[in-house]
Amino acid sequence: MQMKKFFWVAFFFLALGSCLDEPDCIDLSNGFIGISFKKMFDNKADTANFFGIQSPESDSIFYQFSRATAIVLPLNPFSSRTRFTFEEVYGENILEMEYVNRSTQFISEDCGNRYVFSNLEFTNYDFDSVKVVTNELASAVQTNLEVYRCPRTNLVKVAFRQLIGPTERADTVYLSKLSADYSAQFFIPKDTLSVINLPLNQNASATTFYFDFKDGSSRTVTFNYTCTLWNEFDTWCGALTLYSDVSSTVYDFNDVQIRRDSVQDPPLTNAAIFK
Amino acid sequence: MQRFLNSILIGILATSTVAGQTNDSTSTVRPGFLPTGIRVGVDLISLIRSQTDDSFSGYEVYADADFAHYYLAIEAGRWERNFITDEEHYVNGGNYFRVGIDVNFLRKNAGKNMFFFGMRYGRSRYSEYLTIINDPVWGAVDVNYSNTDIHASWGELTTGLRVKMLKFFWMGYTARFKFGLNTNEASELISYDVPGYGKAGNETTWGFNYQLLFRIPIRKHR
Repeated sequence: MQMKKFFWVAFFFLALGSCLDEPDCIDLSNGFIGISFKKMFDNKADTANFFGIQSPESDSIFYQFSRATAIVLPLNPFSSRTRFTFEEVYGENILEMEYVNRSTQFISEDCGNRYVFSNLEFTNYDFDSVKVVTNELASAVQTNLEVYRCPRTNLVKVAFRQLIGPTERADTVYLSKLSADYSAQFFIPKDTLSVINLPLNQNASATTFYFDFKDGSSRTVTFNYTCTLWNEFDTWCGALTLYSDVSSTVYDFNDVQIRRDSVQDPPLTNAAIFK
Repeated sequence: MQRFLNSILIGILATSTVAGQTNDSTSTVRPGFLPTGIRVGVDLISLIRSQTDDSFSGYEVYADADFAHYYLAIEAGRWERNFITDEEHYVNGGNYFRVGIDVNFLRKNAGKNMFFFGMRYGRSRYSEYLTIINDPVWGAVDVNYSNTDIHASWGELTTGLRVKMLKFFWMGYTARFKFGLNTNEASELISYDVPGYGKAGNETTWGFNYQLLFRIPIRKHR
């Protein structure tokens, strides 16, 4: 009789234990490449400003209107090659990869499938310079490729400031549109901002910028400067233009004060604008 | 693994419990090495799960024969899995068997009750198919992968009870710790689910059967 009692007690506990199924969603897929962005001249992390990253085989837009120092992109498991176009504020680049020996495994109804890739090769790219860190793919986030960019010598950084009594403080503005007197692209966040980088025209000695603010007002500012050629990174970047003697005498803001008259990378505040 | 250790603990408790029991029979059964009967049974969990889980269909039958305190155990079954989503369709199906030895630690019982530890060798022959219809990133695709007529083998450590409820009728359960899965699938599709074993991605896994058994006596105890 004791044996029968023990049978039922032990059965209850074992059956209860068997109901506790292990979790399904353990992502073992290695179908991702990690890319980190760096500056060529100091080897430090660079913040890339993306309009978006797209592949011709996908409708998805990765990192749309995003800023990042490192990104992760998926490999297409239904092809042996994947191509991405990086649409950035300061240019457009492509990256193409090939890989072989992929395998597929169903994981669960909730988690979908996992893919296993191998023999990754970066076959085509037009970044300023790249370093392949590893061709091995792993399920954990890692850096496969380091992308180095040339110095951006034409970005004048302006800060919006305001006077509260005798004290100068940061001002926040909401831009609806920004343009220049030449073909230039701008990255405007859909939010207020206090500082912004403005690209100078290397083919002129002055550039005028047109600001349209969310409150309906418009302002302009013109920066004058001197250009000189610089060949330090000639191998990767060609001859670069350095900008100095930055000044501003034409504007319809309340005031524009020059704080630094040479342009640097990363940009340091060149001008304070009082709206 | 934690659950397996729990079962070991329960097993140890069971040993101490049954060691202290008052045996219904005062006779001591002398071990004989010819089987006194064959027990055949069916796994109730597989049958119930087939009715309640839309993604599962299967059954498992069981047989054992006593050789003194040792039992030759044979289990055979079939299971099929079927998962359909908007993105993919996975189907598998196959047969399996397990064969092994159980050692009965209840030395003094005429009822052929068992508290046992044992081991099994399991082998499965199955096919599986995966159709991917839509990928959340790469959009509409129609890609088919398959593994047909492939084999898998694994080992098991088992423990459990068999208790005589009525004349000729036993109830029992087996908890099994499965390990060492080896499959021979093509590299294009990695097995998801192996009949008799479970999820192929688990290096070790856990199984549980609840058996109804009928004993056919073929020889009286000496």
